[in-house]
Amino acid sequence: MPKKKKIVSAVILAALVILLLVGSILVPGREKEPIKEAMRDGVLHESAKVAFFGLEVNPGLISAFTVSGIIIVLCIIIRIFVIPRFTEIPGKLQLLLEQAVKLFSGLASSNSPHRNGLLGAYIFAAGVYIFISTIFELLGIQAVTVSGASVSLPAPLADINGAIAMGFMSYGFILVSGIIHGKAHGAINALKDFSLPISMSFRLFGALLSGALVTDLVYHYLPLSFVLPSVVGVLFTLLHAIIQTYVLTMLVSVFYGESTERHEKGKRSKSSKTSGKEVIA
Amino acid sequence: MPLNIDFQQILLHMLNFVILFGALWFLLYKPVKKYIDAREEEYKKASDEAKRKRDEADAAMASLDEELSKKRDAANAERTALAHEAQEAYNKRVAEAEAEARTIIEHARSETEAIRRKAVSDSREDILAVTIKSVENAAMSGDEDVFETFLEAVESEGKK
Repeated sequence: MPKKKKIVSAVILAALVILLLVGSILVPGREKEPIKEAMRDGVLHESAKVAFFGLEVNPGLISAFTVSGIIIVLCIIIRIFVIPRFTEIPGKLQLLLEQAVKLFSGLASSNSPHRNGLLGAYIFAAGVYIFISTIFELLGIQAVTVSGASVSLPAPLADINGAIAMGFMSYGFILVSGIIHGKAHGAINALKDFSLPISMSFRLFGALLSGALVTDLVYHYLPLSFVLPSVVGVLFTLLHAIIQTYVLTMLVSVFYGESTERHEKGKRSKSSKTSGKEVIA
Repeated sequence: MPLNIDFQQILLHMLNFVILFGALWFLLYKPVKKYIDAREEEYKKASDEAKRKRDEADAAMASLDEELSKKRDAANAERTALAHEAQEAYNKRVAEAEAEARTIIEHARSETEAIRRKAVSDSREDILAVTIKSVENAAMSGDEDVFETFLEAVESEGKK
């Protein structure tokens, strides 16, 4: 392309960008909901309900089922086409899968040396779910609310119901395993940390919600909606995904290890107890 | 409920996660873990086998070293014995040779003495014969130079 033509094209493109930018600022838009209302809706999802088999549910639940569906389909594909072709010298996908499994099984065996078969599977599932469902909000898949408006599907755990479900289920898993493996001692160990499900639920909810709110705030104001969201949104989401995956899986494995540890007469393992407190701190 | 908490949705979230947990466990975690464990077991077996073979080789090496050391000691002892024996044989041979040499010298010396004695004896007899002959000749011829003739005869006999 000749140099003159290039210059003309660049000038036209720049003029178009400036024109659209000025126009979007000067032309009054649709009446926006106030920031207070937007934040409240971001937290509580009271107004934006989505129809789900006759029920009116939060978009977070739709996200949860969508994410699970995607993960399960991927799992089936991997199980049928990838795992039977595993080789002695692993390829990239095999390495990724092996590393993921080894990461969580290693976390389980280091925190609960006696019994960790099911724990490894649980924290693997929880980790995969939290990580992928948090990143899922980056896709911005739209759903239609019962009022006919469009809503971007959020991270499932940014919905308080999803966070509570995850927190209580993790606690239930620890409690049941404690009762099965540690008998009365395990049950007492798990029951005395009765605040654990609430703390886990609200930690997840708060962490993911804070990220969502910051991103919402950034998106809410037009002058901030250029370039910045792509950095803020992606970075915050990725950080949340990694940190929350690590925190929840670590908490579950530490408390599981405590509740299922072998109780020796006259000896009480203080190391695992200390580590549990440290993790909470 | 405050904060839009809905028990029905919580249960639905739990249902969703339980299904996901089951799927991930059976479809992904278990087979991959099984593969990793099998591979680790295989490597462990190979490692144990290699260790066993190395131990065996070390033991064989130690045994061979011990055997070699024993053989080396035996060879050293044998060499020392042989050297000692050879030294003794040498000494004996030298002693015998010296004795033989002494015998030969003694023998030569006695033979030489005998020859000398015989020569002296023969010379005496010759001198006596010449003397007698000369005296006879002188007596027969009555020549004044009989003594000179005698001396010449003696001289010529001596040259012979």
